[in-house]
Amino acid sequence: MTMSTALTDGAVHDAISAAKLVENLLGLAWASDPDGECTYVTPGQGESMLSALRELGIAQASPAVQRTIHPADLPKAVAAWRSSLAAGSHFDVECRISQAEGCYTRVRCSAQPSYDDEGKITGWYGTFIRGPGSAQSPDKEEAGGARDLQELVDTVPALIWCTTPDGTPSYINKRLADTVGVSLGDLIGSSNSKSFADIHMEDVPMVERALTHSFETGTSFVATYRQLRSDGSYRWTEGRAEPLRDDKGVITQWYGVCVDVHDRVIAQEALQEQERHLRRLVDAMPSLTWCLSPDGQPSYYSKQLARWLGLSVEELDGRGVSRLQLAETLLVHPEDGRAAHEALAQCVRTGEPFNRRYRVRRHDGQFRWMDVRAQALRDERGQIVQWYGVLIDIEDLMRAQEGLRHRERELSQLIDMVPSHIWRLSAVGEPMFFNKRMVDFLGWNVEDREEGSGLLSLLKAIHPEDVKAFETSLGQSIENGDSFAMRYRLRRADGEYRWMSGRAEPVRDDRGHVVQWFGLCHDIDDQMRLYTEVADREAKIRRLVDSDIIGIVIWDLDGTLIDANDAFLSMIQYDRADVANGLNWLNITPPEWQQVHALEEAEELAATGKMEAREKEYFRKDGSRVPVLIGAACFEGDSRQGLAYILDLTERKRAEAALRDRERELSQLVDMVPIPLWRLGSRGEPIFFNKRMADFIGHDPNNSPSSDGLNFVELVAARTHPEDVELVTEAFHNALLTGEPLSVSYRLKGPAGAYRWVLSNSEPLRDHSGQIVGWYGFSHDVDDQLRVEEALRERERFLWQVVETLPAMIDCAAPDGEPIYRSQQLREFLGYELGALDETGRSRLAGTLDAGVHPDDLAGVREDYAHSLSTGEPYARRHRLRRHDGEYRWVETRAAPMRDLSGAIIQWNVICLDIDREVKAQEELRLAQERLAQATQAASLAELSASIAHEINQPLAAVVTNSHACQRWLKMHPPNLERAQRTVDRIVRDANAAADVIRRIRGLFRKSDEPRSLLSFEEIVSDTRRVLADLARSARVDVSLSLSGDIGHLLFDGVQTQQILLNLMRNAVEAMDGQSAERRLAVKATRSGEVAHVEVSDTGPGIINPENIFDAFFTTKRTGMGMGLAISRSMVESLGGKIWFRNNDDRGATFAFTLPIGSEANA
Amino acid sequence: MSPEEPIVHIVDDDPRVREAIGELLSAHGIRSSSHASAREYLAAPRSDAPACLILDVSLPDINGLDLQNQLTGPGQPPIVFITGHGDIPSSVRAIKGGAVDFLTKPFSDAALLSAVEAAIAQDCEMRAQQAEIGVLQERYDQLTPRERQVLPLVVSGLLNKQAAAELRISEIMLQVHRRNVMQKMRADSLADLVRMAERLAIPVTHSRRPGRS
Repeated sequence: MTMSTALTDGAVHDAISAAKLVENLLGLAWASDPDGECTYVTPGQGESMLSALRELGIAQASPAVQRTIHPADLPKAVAAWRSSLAAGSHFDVECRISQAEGCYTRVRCSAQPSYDDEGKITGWYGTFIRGPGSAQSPDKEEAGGARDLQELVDTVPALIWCTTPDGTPSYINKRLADTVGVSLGDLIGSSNSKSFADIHMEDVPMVERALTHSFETGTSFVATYRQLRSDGSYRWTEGRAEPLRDDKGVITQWYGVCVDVHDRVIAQEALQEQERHLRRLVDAMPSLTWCLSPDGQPSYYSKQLARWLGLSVEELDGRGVSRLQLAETLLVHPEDGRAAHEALAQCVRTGEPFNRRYRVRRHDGQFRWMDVRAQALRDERGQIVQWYGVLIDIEDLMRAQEGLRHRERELSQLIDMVPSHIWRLSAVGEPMFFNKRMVDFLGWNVEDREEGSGLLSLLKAIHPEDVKAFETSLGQSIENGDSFAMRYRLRRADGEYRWMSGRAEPVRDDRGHVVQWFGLCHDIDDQMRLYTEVADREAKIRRLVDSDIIGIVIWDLDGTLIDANDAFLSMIQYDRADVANGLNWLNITPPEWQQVHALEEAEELAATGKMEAREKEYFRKDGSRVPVLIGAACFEGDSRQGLAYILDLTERKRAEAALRDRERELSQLVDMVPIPLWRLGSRGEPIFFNKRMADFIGHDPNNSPSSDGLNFVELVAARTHPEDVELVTEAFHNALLTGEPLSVSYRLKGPAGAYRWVLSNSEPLRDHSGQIVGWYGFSHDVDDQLRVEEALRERERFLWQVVETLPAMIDCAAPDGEPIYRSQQLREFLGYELGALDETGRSRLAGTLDAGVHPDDLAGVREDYAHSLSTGEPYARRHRLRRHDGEYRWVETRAAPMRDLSGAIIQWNVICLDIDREVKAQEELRLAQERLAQATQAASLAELSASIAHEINQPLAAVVTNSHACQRWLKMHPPNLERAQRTVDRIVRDANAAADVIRRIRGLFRKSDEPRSLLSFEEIVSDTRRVLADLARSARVDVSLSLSGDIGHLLFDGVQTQQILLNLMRNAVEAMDGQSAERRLAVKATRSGEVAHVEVSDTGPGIINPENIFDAFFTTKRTGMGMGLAISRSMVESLGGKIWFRNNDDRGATFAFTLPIGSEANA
Repeated sequence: MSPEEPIVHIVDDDPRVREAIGELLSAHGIRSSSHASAREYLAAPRSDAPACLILDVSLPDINGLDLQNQLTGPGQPPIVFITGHGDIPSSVRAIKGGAVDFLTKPFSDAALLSAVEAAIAQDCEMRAQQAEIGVLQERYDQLTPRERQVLPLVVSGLLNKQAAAELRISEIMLQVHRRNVMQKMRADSLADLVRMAERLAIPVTHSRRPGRS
């Protein structure tokens, strides 16, 4: 639109230039003939436009054709075009035109008619102009959008322009035109390039260079230049341009903008001027100033600094490393470089001020200590813009400090090396310094001292007993300003407290105020210890002297009491004043002792310098006597004076008297005791008999002194029963010889003349060295007791013999089952003594069981034992026990607990019977039973009958059926002889098979004939009873036999007879099973002539349905086969007998059978 | 379903007995197949013919009575037991289990033949019934679900009106369904349909109660 406006409004005088313009227009130009037929389109990329124009001309496009114009816009566009063509009016329509891949571009299509001189339309000239941002908003429908944009572009307070890709201006917005006062045409210079008419002459070359560069390379254009204004002035303007590229990246247009930056440029220039000024100022300043960029790189050294360093910032460039690195390498002392670098890096990171001392190399190569500081300068947003810093030469200062530190170190060493503890306190007493020796002594490390108050730490190290005094004393000193001196114990690092002598003196200032305290303390522990020891010893002695345990006096031989302790004084009831007044030694000594003293004591003292302790007496003040023990000694080197100790013996004397009294009492007691007591000398001589003894024996050594030489043994022997004399004599002699206590029972003739049993016991009395000094003894009349015992023992022996000789093995066990006694029988059976088990390490019980019980029975035996032991129930079990010869024999062991009155088990009595023979017999019986049962099975019951029936019925059934079939074949018309013959063959075959079966069965029966043997009928019956014994017992049936005994040894088939009996008896037992009434089974056998008559009767319910009782398969029992009676009958009958039954009159049934005697019934 | 000749299966462990029975049956023009054990019988292919099973009580593998217990259900042939030694409990059990007869060896030809004939007749009867039910079932399967709903109501004797109300459809619609049911089941009358429903064991779900308001 603007282009078309420019086209129509602008001068089109020059056809050539017009053509060029058209060619370079932003967009596409086209021309058509008056009928709308396209005659020209701008060359290049016009394919879509061309087809769009064609579509405009075509009235009705085929729907199948791929359209260029968006289908929604097509009718509108076509209609508008037609209307314009018809009216010759301006054509202007906006439509979407398909670009690549269905992407539509919004395009404005405009055209103007061109008229000839006569006013006839000669053709149409039009343009396609791509709408702004059209590619991104293809769906934007509003036609007004572009106009709005145009207005926007025109009114935006920026100067906007466009050029073709090669730089020819193609558009300027209205503002640009107004501001600069030029039209687009003015800007298009000769040869279509941009004229720089609007740019200050001075800036033209620069702008031209930049523009050309941008157009050539396609990079953005930025330039600041002075631009002409419509009022003729020039203002600083910033021009920018960006290329617009199509899909393929080809530049289609340049869009530019000019921004008035005049004021800014002017301000900047002013600023620059100011900066230059300041810099000069800074450079002139005599301080060493420097700047760092925000990242810490040196950006500026002041002239002074540069001169001082002999290096400018620029000289740090271009060595392949950053300025900072180089500066650090070149300028900073190697020892400080690293620390300085890190500190700076830290500051740069955090923005904190930088302040550090390090050595920097001066231009002359000398390193000097510098105080280097830098501070960040921030803009209004807080961003660091620059670091400003100064360097201050502190070399001299550092030197001075260094010297000072050195001196301080030396002093410190001195103090630390002094072999004493030195410390310093502040005026208020807070420790400020401890020398190393003290610190080491206390075992502090630096941390300890920094923590809390030093004084507190020190107090902690002082012995708890001293700390209070120390605190008080030090506090007072500090308060008053007096010197402090004290001894106290201080804890060494190893925990030991050592005595210290501590002193502190105040240091005062000019005005006499205490400024601080210097203290010294040294280890006086060893002296203190020595002192303490002496003091201790002294105190001990002192305590001894002062205690009232013993009296002590210091005497002079002339009798003067130089000193005496309280104990002594209280002993003699004098007081100290009396001593002071010259209490004389001799005054208190009774006259009889004066003599002794003069004669013995003085002499002894003079001779030996001491006097052995002796007892004597002193007068008390009141004249009473006090018994004392006294010992004395002269002082060393002095025979006149000395020390004496005196013990008050009053108590001892009193005790002695008490003892004497007691002795008398005891003596009486002994005499009164109703037992003869005696005491003998070491050799057995009588020393003391109590009265009873004396009476008993008729001798009293108390009255007749031992010198008469009578021996106690002889004395006793004389009255001892002649049978016991030897025993007694030997016992006494043995005791006297060996010193072992004596205990002997014997008969002694009493005063009444009768012998009575006495028990004499005697024990030796030994002195401290173990030497026997005498014998004490007593004789006890045990006559009655012994008699009872004797009777008991007799009984026990009897019982013992009973047990030992009893033909059973007897075992007694503790409540826990441990055997404690075994009878001889059992011991002999087992072949070892009970004690032998103790060596195995197991319990006796376990040992016995393991060693004796058959391994197969062991588990059961153990279980039963355990059960009985835990419950107290009697134990009974049969098992195999190993005899001493290794043979396992069946035993029956029974055990029952013996209980005390309270019911607690005190013992288990076990009896063990060797039942091997019985068990073996039973075993044989059982085997016989089994054999019998096997025989029974073969010959009886369901199997036999069933198998016989089956064996015979099968072929019989076949025979019968075949016969029927044969009949059938024969009856046919005509008869089927072939089949009939076949069936007859089969009949013969099967009938023979049946006959075979019968033969086999007969063979079976014949076998049972063979074991016939001569057995007495009685034997058979009792054998059968034995077989049934278990069943009868478990069914609690009472079995009675009644045999006439005259049946005798007759020929029977024993097995079959037994089988018959067994069947009948078993039936009887089973018939009574479960009934509560009396269960009786009676077997009665009699002989009548040549026939044995047997009856088996029971007390069961009797026979209720007697009809089929002997039939096979008839049974009244749940589990029965119904064969027993059937077989019995068949057997009886086969033996030539008869069988029948009857119900008894009272209850039950009786089965009876007869057997001919000596018959060969079933031959 | 072409009617086949009846067949008698003989299961006995004794070959002589099998042979003889087979011969007797053959002499009477009855075909037979023989098997030595229950397992052999069970494994043998079965024809569709009416059949009868002559079964020995004591078999080597399983007892004949136990086999009888296994052979229950439709399609199993009726059983005639034979035994070498008959006991009462076994025979009672056999007859209770549905056996046609229980014959003790040796048995007469008349007894066996009559038992076999009775058994085959029983099987034929059973088969005919099964076949009829099969046909009816086929017809019933053709009914639509709605018609299957209508059928029990109709055979229960409900009036059209009642049945329609029950199904919440119009009486006209019910009549249409009812007609369709009659046609598809090929029932000549309602009574016929009731009989068919009985065969098919369709439960009578409703009963018309005269006193109901």
